[in-house]
Amino acid sequence: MRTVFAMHELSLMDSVFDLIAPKVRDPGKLVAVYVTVGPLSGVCADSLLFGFDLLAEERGFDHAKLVVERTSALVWCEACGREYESGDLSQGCPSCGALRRMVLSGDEFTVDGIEMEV
Amino acid sequence: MCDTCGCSSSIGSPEHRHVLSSLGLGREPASETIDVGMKILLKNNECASWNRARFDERGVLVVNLIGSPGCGKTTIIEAMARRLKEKMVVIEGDVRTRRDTERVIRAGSRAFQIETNGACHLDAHGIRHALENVELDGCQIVVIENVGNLVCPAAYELGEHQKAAILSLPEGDDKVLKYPALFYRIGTLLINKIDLAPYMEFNFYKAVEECKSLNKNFRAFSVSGKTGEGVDEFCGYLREQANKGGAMR
Repeated sequence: MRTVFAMHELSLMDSVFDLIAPKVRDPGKLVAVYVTVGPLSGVCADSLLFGFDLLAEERGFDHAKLVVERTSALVWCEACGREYESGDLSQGCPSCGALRRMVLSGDEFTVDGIEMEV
Repeated sequence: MCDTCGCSSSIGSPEHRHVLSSLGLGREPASETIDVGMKILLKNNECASWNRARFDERGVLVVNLIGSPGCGKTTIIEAMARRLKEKMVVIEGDVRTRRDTERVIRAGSRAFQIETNGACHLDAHGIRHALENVELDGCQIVVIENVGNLVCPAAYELGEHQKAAILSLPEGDDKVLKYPALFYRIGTLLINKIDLAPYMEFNFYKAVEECKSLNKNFRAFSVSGKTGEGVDEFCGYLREQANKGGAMR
């Protein structure tokens, strides 16, 4: 029977630890975990932080920190043709204000790398 | 320079994009970086792909129905059940109770309940487990009614062919851009409780245009789960998609 975490960012951090585990020879030597979270990922970066703090020590990652890179969405404005980065999709084009647009990227949710003490 | 994470902006400024846990401060050991480069939801998505393969083997169209508590998910499904009967099977997700499963069965379709006991969304593993117990013979459409929530279900693939989001008139026409991760991903927008239109100020055009500002690949339907208005059209669309082979966003 699998463990179900009541707060789902805990379960997401659990997944991060599972993904990095094969690359971590000595948990006490893990220094940092690098994660990317996009505005359309559906994930709350601050809750990941909370989840990391709760779970890291119990997995022996006593000296590790979580580094979250928050990306922006890449957007193409259909009204004026401008391509821009948006961290807040409730706002329109910075040039013309239009909401008529195409979202090109922004749903990233990856663990990019880890830093190990040598 | 941020002397905690080393980036060039000051903490608290909009440019400071790094967030650190409280562990690990105060030590700067010699270190090496190892690339990982993996999607965090990999395991869930692999399970979702497995689920999808099982559904495709049976030739059923699967819709992941998402919306706030009380927006009308179950009522719309009941209206669909009265029309589709044995051609629809429903997988119900709730934190607790079997209430929705019992409603769907009374309306005429087979239904199976998942109680998450705390989880705020369904995930692919829950659906995989349900597939061990759900009878799909003779069915053309599977509707997975997700836990009432516009936030968390967005990130979790279940093996569906598309996500359908419900926005009901009393919730207001300004909700789409409040929940961009969901509306970015949907194949269908169901605007529900249109029977209340005379009593609500709901701008249909605004809601649909805001959804188009995130997503170019959805169909919008105006429906009332209570009166049945628009439900025939929605069922007709789903049956058409099922006949085409089901593969879509």
